Amino acid sequence: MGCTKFGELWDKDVKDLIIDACYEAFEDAGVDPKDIQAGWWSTMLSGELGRSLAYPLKTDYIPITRVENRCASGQDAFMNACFSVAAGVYDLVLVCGAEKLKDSGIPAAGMDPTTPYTHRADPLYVPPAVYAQLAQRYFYHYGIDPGEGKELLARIAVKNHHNGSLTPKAQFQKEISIEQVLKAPMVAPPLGLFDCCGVSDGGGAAIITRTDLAKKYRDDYVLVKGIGLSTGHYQGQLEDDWDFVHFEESVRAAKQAYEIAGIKDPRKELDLAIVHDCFTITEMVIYEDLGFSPRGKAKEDIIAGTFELKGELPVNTDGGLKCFGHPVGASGLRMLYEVYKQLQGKAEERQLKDPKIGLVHGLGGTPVDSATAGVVIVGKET
Amino acid sequence: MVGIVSCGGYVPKWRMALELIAKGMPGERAVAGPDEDSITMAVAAVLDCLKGVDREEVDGLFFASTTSPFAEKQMATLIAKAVDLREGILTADFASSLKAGTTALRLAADAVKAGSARQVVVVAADCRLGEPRSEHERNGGDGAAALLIGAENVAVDLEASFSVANEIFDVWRRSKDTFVNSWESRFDLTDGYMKSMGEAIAGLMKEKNLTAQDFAKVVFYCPDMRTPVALAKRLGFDPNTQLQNPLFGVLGNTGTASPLLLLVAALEEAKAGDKILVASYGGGSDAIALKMNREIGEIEGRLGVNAHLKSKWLVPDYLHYLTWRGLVAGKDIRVPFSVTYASAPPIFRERDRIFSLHGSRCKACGAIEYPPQRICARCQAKDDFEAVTLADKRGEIFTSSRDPITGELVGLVNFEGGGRIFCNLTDGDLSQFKIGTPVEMSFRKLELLPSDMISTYIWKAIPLRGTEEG
Repeated sequence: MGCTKFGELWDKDVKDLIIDACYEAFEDAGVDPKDIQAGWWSTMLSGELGRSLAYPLKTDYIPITRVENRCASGQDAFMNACFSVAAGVYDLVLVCGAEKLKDSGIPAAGMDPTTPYTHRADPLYVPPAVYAQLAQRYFYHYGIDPGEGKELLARIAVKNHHNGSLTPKAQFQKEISIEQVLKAPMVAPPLGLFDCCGVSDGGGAAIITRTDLAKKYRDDYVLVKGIGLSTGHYQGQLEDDWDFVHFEESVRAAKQAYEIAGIKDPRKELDLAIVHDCFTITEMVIYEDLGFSPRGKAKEDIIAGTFELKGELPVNTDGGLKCFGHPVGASGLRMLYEVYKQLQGKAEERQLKDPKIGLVHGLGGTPVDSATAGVVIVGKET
Repeated sequence: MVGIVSCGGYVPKWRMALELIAKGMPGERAVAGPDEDSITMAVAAVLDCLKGVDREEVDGLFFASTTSPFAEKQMATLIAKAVDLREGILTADFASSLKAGTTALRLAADAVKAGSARQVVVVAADCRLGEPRSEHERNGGDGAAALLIGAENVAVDLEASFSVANEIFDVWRRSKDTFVNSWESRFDLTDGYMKSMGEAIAGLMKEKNLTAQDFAKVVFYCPDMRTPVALAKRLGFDPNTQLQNPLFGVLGNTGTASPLLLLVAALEEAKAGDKILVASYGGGSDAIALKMNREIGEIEGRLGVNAHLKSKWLVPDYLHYLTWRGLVAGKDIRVPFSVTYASAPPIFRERDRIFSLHGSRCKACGAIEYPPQRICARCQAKDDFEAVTLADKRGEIFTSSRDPITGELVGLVNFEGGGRIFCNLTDGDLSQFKIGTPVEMSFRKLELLPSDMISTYIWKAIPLRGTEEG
């Protein structure tokens, strides 16, 4: 696998990000780029057509599929690449995700490039405005005092910043305190600056082959154990009893992946999870959606430190979207990169003790309409 | 007899202290909010007027204003659509004169009398601009009033009317002007206002053999505080007991809306049997004599003028007012979603749900969904829906927050009786939209990009008007 440093990469364009991520992956796998038989290109805003991947890499008329599922694009592209190999169509394929967000001049990710001509009758919003509503509703639903709720979310930000401080490729590598989080400027009440993930440039890449061929390239290859993808149909708006304290898409995607991987108790069986913490409240809700915490009980696990680096089930060991950064189409690959490195024992200062199986989770969309969630479980040969 | 079947009023929630315009000046004036204009105010007044009225019985809608946002494009059609009237009706815009409202009223009554319409809505609204710090700005006010004219179940008889025309440059605004102009007030008031109002009222009284003492109340268009008092005295009315309070210092002169809005305020206090005189002004005058059959308070659920006046919010400063009216350039928000452009065909295709706020009710499972769907989100039944109007439903805030880029409040509202909308919230700050807060829907102007060329309208949620909190 390969992954660039994430951040405000003023000196790199998307072609640089693709080349850097893919060539790290080629070298890591010992693969000649000419041997790649097909490619999947994951991006939201950084280049249409498969040619956006072919152009920088100079691939030789191989099939390249562009995949867009917003923040779950990476998981989706990875899933379809795996299917092609599992189906026996190809033996060696490339998945690359990259995004160049920082040329826009605005401190937020762009949205909805697919419907340029509309009636404009629906409210315009950026993601913090609607994830803030998730937080409002979560606190209300479970009777959490707003002040206490802010502090619970702050603990998630502090945890991810600690992990980010141990991750050289992360956008933000600085420890922060709960007090700093609580005093930070408000973005969309109740979410403040440190409740929101970074807007970043970055790229990631993975090379997929058959298990029986993997040994040819390296001994410490990582196996795909389970995959799930789920898409909602605007239940958040259309169903007036939709609760706004969970993402059914995450629940369903995880269920599919757990079934394939044979996981019954994810909290006990998984060694780490890299999840979609676009906002601190999202990570809190994900703990429950993926079955790590019982419904309404994420609070207790946050206070107990369950998901910290030394906790029972470390979550976002690389700093998550919060600190590693969130170049939309690249994030799924970045998440896989962290689990891959952890399983190989190459995660430097943040290395966990002998992890054998890990999960990645991406969530594109918002609670007010609907989302696509993608879950991939990877593990060591056992 | 033909007359007023129902009436409604609208005064924006925002008031500006006159102190902000002229130092030391007491009182306030009504100011349309940043997302309000003559159209949105007219829609609010018509909705107030049509509470409980069967839309099928309404055969026309006349809109009177000097401040329609479009020089070419009828807006009565949009108002009719927003209040959910049928398409098979007569619509018309009455423009260019502050007496356009009473003229529309006369012609609506004539149409009903002639049998060409059963009921016609007459609505007048204005949002006029005086030059900053001028007397026009200080005396002005924004608002709207609506009357339902019909021949059955009439609350207020329209007994007689008399009009005069007077060609004069006293108050005017050319198409290319932003602000209202006027000639020296001594000329305007004597050869314009006093002359035309006097002639119309005297003409009416002479023709119908009426005296000043026959009227319980006289409602004059009022360009200022003093002149209507002098006019009343000259015509034999007692200004202290008979002249309707022009609401200066509270509301201000609402232009075309003024005669109808003050009439609605007068009707709210009148007793059965009272005779009322209303006279408008603008390039002449219309004088109309009315008689109360029954008290207007019996029309249930309306807020009218007085309840709207009670619920208010003060404009924080003069710069806000100037920005709202486009007199000072607001911050150019560089929106990440600006890759979308307003487009006429989608607005047209979805006009039922955008302007009439129609949701869909699934005939198979009963679920109400907004926007309307072709396949039910709950039971997947296909093309088996009926339209349901959500505009007149109250709702409750399910969750809310503020968008950091646009600064607008957004939230989800669950309607009484089912259905949910994701919409903007207005006329309040975030603390007024906590989870569980009751809200109602309000038709508002949608700010688009200058490059869009179209300006359009959407529904937003507001705190309930006419309550302690509202």
